[in-house]
Amino acid sequence: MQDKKAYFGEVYETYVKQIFRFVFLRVNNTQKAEDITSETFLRFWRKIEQGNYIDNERALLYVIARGIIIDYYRSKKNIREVKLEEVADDKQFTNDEIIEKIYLNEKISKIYKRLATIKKEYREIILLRFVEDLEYAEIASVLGKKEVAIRVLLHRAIATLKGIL
Amino acid sequence: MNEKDIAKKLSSLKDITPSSQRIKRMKEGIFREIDGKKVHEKNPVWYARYQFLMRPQYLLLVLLLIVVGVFSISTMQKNIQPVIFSARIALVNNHYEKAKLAFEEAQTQLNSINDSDLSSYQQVMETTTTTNAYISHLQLQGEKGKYTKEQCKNLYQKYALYLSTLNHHLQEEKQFTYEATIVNYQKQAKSRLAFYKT
Repeated sequence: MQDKKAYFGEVYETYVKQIFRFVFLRVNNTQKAEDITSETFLRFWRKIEQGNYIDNERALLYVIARGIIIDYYRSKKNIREVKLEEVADDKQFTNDEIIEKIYLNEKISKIYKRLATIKKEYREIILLRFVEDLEYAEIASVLGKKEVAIRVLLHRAIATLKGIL
Repeated sequence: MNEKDIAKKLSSLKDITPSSQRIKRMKEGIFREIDGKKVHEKNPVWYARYQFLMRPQYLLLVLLLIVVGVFSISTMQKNIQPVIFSARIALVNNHYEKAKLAFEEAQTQLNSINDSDLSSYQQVMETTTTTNAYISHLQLQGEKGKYTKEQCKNLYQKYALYLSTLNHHLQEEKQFTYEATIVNYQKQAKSRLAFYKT
């Protein structure tokens, strides 16, 4: 059990920032991103605990996180939360976190709004490839498509992005 | 625009990272959940739900309820027995079957009589009176085809023997209260038996 925990701790330290970013760019809410990231790692832990063979930790974490995000958007009441955060309303965070959020919101307002103009499918592949630095095989695993299809879609996504960025 | 250009344009998004405080807080929360789950596995749901019953006052209450429950069930069985007996008799459609059922019940009660308990004698006598009432109503003409003369004779023979045993038992135990009644029943049985033997 201790070995499993140590392994899980290593995985957490290695990928928590990436998973948080991946989630944040899709829910645009730091608190929700924190909740989903935590849930992602908890589900990952359950797989370790059950003794499941894990071939690629990173890909699996993205698959889990994506599933939770999809569930999040399926809930109608949560859809209303998808908006840029009102920092001033957040009184529960420390100054450090508020600065972090302001910084994040600036990033969102500049780049993410441009990305939002392209097809969701293309945006997903672009972010996984150029922000998360996933390999084609990993993207295929996360999106549940064939690697060849991912290459084709990425090619089209890049073509669409010309003139937008 | 090639892949490198896009990567460069989007590179600023890679700066999005949670604060160290947030990372620490999330980790603590996850490990708390993991450790909490282990405790939960050791103690199943039912244990957690009913753990309060292990307190002495609840334990006493539970024991009391069990005692009351057992007592109620035994009392209910005693009370319900005559009801079942009456219902069984009511369900059969001729006097022979009614008399037979009442007689069987009287025999059972006599076999399990408790000599030290006066109420058990009273109970046997009540059932015997019921048996006597039904057996007296046996009439071959009114209920023709439902039972035979031979069946009536056999039943009366057994009944006469039963009355004799009961009388003997009561005399041994010096229970003279019911003597006159039993002698009367024996006379009736003797007379009827003589009729069925002809």
